[in-house]
Amino acid sequence: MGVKIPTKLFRTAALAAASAAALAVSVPASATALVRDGFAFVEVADAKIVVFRPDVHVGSMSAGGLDQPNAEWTEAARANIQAALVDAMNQQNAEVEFLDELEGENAETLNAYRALFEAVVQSIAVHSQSAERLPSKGEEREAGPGRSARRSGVQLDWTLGEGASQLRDATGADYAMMIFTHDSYGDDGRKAAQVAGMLGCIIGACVIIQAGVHVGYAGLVDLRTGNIVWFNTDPSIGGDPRDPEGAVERVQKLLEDFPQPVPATELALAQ
Amino acid sequence: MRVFIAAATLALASLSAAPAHAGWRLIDDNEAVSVAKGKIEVTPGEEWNRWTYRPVGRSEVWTLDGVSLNELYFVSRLQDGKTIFTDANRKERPLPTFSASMLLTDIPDFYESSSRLALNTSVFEITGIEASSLAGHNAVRFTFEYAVEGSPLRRKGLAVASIFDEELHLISFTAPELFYFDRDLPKVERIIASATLD
Repeated sequence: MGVKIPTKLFRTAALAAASAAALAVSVPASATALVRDGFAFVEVADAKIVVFRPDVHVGSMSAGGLDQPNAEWTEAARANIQAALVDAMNQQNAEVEFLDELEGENAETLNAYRALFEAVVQSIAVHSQSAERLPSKGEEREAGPGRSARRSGVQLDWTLGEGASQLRDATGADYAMMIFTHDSYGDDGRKAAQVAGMLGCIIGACVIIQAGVHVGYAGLVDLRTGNIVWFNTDPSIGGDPRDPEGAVERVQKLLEDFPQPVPATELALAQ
Repeated sequence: MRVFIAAATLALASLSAAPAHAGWRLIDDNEAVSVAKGKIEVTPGEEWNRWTYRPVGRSEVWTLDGVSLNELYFVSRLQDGKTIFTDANRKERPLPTFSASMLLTDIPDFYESSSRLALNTSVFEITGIEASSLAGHNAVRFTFEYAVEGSPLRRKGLAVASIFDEELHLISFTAPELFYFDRDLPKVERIIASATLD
């Protein structure tokens, strides 16, 4: 007996009005990319990276926080981000293949892993911030003078599971680059509420209302193991992906600190 | 700056009520620990993280990788008239309350209706119900599958519940169907099997 999920997936916003569907957590003003312990540049020399169609969602947000998907904006943003991604990844020193979709059963597999990727990178984004750190993900530090044993930092040890190797079988790639972005722009009602909230600050009844929601995550998945070997997000992510220049800015932010593969010839010389 | 993500688990659905200073603590893996300020002790066996925030009075949330990937939820000594999850949206979607007159066979329906409302989802199905035991008491064990609006991810869950002294005691586990549920289920089964009355 299985759950039937509607074929038309309505992606309301990540910030859903229905209260229960919303989570807001503070993140630091800046973030740095995380790299899996033991992941070395040498591993990606001569590697093939498959870049799947980015998972892009754009909508508008009402004064009440209800996020309405906008198909036209989403289509434009997806095309712009994809074009910027192709340009950016083609500059990487690795064999890169771009794939929108896979065929047949492989298409279902890719959709399932896209959904899991979203959940995993959201967990990484939330739990890599100091207030939400999971101690089990920290590195062990022995007790020292005036200091008890504790865990600190965040180790990137999240995974999609070894079943992700099905995507390796389907594509012949060693790694998959996956990107998820969600933007929700405040509509006129929300902007009015934002202005009213700011005016309220003058009389001491201040209600801070954000104009919208903008999140983006990029991850490199080792398709032999399913492990996330590199992850990046930027809480102050910029760029309006609805226009091409904004999409370039967005992609540049997401690919900042992307590990640079080392050509085999350089490796041989180094050794 | 803030990050917003869809709440796909019961802990996330209760976060709007969580104080900003809530955080996570590591649980000793091989020592029996009392959970949810109640009568039940379990032995973790793994390094789980415990949330310092309690969604309802006597409850506790554990996770390994983040609650959207593996969420272990304990409720202990839930009394008549109380909800099993945070009643975060009680004006529009009030959660059902536990009744001391409920039978074990009523609990799967109670859990399902509570989950549907807390997660605001219509995609929730109980996939199995059987008699079981929890900390030496008769219990009902049930499995379920669900998804939330805005996410195509299929999720699975398992819960074991018992009623004694007219109070509800429950342990539930939810995780994505793909990889995480099957990987972590044996760990959860060991925790449920380790439950004793303290």
